[in-house]
Amino acid sequence: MRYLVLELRRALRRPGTLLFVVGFPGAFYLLESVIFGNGIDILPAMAAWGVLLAGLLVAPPIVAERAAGWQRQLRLTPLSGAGYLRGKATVGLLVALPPPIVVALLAHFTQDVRLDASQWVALVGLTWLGALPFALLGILIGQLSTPESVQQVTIVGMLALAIFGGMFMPLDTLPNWFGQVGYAMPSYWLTELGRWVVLPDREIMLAGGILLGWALALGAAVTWRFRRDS
Amino acid sequence: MELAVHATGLRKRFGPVQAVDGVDLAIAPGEVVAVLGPNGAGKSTTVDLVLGLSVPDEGRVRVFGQTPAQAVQEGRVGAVLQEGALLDDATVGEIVAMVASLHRNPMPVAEALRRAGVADLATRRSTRLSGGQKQRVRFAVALVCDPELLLLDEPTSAMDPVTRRAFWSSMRDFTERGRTVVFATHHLEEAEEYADTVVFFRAGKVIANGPIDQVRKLASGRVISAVVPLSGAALGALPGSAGVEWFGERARIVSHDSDATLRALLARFPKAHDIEVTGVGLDEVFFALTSQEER
Repeated sequence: MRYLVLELRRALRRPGTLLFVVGFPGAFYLLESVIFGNGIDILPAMAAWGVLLAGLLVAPPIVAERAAGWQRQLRLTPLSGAGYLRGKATVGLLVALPPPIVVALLAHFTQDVRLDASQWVALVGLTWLGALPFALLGILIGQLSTPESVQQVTIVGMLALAIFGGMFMPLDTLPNWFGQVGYAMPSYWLTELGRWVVLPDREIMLAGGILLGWALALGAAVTWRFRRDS
Repeated sequence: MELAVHATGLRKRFGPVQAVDGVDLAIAPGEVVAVLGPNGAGKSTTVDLVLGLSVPDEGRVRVFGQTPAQAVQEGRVGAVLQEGALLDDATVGEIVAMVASLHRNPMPVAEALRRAGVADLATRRSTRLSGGQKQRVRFAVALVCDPELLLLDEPTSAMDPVTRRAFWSSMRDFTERGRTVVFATHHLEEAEEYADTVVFFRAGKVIANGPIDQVRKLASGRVISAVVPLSGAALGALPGSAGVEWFGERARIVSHDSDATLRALLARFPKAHDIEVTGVGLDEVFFALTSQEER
């Protein structure tokens, strides 16, 4: 428990963490609200983007700790390798909580978005739960990257998942082929969780099922890689 | 009583390199053992095997009668690894606290910091430390589980002489409480000063081991190097001689009493020439210990 607190403190202290997960989605939310002329269409996407960023940011410290030998040091403690990865995933999930909250607060106070209390809770809560596959993706990137490549892989992943998942531009405004790619992205379905709350006629079960599928697949990949490493 | 470290027939190969080639170790609780040997002799690999960081191809390791993994689980083993890292984004106190939080019965973080002599660095980020300070922080990390056995892989390599002395004095506090310490080093002086027993590694094998007194005696000796035309002459029988090595016609004699050896050499082999007398280094001690065992 104390270990997790210290891990979380490190994550929040790292330069970039808060800028990425809260600053970027917050700023883009305000910008796009102006472009689209309303604050509600873009709300689920930007809340989801922050969650996605928080998940992928799990990767760089894993790579750094692997390269520097910190993982070897931890192997001299009772913490198992699986426990280490669970800790990293937990921290990723905790860091993923502020972004939907901040974007929701911005929506309420700057864009006059009005939702029921239960809708706010559902929007924040569902989007946050959707962080799981992304935290797992962050771990997988952490297991596979080198210290030289991890920065690029993470940033490209953040942008590609956001763009192709229709977070910046809704998929139905884009060419058809673009949409086909988008529907394969977990980021599209993460956004759908929030859209289900604020927009009519959305499929929550489908989005949840696909994200769960992604989580299982990524979890299996992480486990496979972990067994090969150790 | 269980041995602190008991290794039998350890072998470990990395690709074409046989890093550890049949190592046996028996270290009693409370012993302070120096592991000496050149780079690539298998010291670090052996340390990894004893810690369970890698698995031997053959052979077996027991730490206090347990597997390395069990001993680590119970916090009975601490280690300062050569590349044991510190976290860039945490303070010294936080790093030690993180490791402490994972152990079942750690000592208080402040005490580990104090024992390692880094209490004043607790709030410092690890990126702002000198090499010697980092090494002492690693020592605090190793101490915090309050281990019965401590393994140190070249603990003083990044230290200046003053820090080195401070480090060994904190180490002495630790060993006075009956703990077992195994440390790898290049420095014969460190072994002489702090170890009870010395183990010499070369090419993945333990080529000699013995109590430190014997090593000290050898280390106080001299090496006489001379061209002796009667190559293969029985120089080992000279007074004070502890071993002879031939390089063509040149003989290298390790001697406890170089004056007596040299007088006898010249008396019996008047044609001996190009004579040099030097102090012994690690190599000569190795050599003397091994050649004594063969006799």
